[in-house]
Amino acid sequence: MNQRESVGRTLLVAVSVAFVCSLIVSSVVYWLRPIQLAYRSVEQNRAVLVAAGLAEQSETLADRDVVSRFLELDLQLVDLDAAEFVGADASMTASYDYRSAAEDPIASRPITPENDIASLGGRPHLMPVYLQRDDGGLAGIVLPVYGRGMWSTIHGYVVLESDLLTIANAWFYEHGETPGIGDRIQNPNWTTQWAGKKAYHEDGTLRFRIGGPGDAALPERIDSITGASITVAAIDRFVRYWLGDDGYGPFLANLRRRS
Amino acid sequence: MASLPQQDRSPRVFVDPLIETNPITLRVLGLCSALAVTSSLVPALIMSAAVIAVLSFANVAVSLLRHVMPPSIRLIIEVTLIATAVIVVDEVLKAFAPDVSSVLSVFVGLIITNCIVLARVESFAMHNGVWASLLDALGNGLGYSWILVLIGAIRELLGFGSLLGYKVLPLASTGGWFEPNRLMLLTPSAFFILAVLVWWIRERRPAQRKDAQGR
Repeated sequence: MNQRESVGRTLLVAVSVAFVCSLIVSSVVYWLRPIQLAYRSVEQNRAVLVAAGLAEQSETLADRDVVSRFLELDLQLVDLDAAEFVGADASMTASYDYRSAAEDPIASRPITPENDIASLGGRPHLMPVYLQRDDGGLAGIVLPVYGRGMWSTIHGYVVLESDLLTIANAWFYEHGETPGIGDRIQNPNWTTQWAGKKAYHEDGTLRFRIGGPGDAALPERIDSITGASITVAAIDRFVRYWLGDDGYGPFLANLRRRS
Repeated sequence: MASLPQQDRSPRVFVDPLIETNPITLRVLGLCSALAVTSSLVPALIMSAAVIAVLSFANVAVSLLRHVMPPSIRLIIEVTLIATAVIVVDEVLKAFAPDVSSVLSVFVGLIITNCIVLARVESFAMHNGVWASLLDALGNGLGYSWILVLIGAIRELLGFGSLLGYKVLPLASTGGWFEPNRLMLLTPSAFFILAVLVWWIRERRPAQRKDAQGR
């Protein structure tokens, strides 16, 4: 046994095992990443459909149906600081990935500490939004939101009605929160509470808040979730950030003024 | 450990863990995942396959390296090998079975800490040849699996009235007679089923009882 126990040998075995293992892991990840990304983009489109009310949460849709229903929505890129649509061509718009943009120092910018209520650190210059049209008019708008939860980054969509003040729906489609507790943010009993709540006052100032204001009898209240308060507080913070003046706020104000 | 045979190639290495030395019912290892992923049959099946794959890889790799590993970093190397297998399995599931992967969520990653894997690697693969270690891994993996699949089947049948997603019992809500048992959807029901299983097996095999072992 003891001849196996020398410093050089220990180092050699440790390094070679670590090397071989990392080689295995990275080659598997390299080969499988494209498949996972393709699935993720379909999943993301499916989540937009669920948020926009074009598909049921429990509905099993073939990938083809997801794509065809998804095309009913008008996908646009928004420059958040300019508070305007970018008007980029369709292929660039469709291939834009706000997640990789968020990690790219050129495509994103830091958030000043006093604005960074959700501790995001930075955010992309551009965000995709999905416009629902009916008979030419705007019927709703789907806004992607994300932020750190308790364990993971939570990704979701908040949908506003045509008045751009009222929440129509919210759907958090990707998270790694505690199974059985934090994952109740996907429970319909909780998500249905969002519908009809005012995200903004009539003058356009933000009024969104989970757990408030006032008592449970008020119609404006979205309840927190017992046992998942950290997760829900995080959602409260990052939704307020994204709907606020540093997020979609100025863009939505512009859009409201125009319509 | 000293009582273990150095080179046991007999079929018992494979057969024993199915019931006689079953990792769940006798050794009561790996319960966390057994309870968490058995709310229906499909996740139980995928989880079983994942554990069998990880266990086989880890046992074979450790058995191959058993004369090379310096004893002082033995555990670190074993865990590194196990973690490698788990990450590979997790990535494969994310690519080819993404729906089930999201149901299993953290529990695939938690195979790294599944006591069964480290127990087999430490107590068997470190002292036995590659072939015996593979048989041991398959035996223990299947021993774990049949319990998981059985609990998953019972819970899905009584909790949803279905098996593998197909309706088996006509639900009262759609005009049938079967009223789903909501308890079966909750984790404690897995404890109850497991307890009945353990009791039943030990009733039939008195040698497994603790009092029979003089403890």
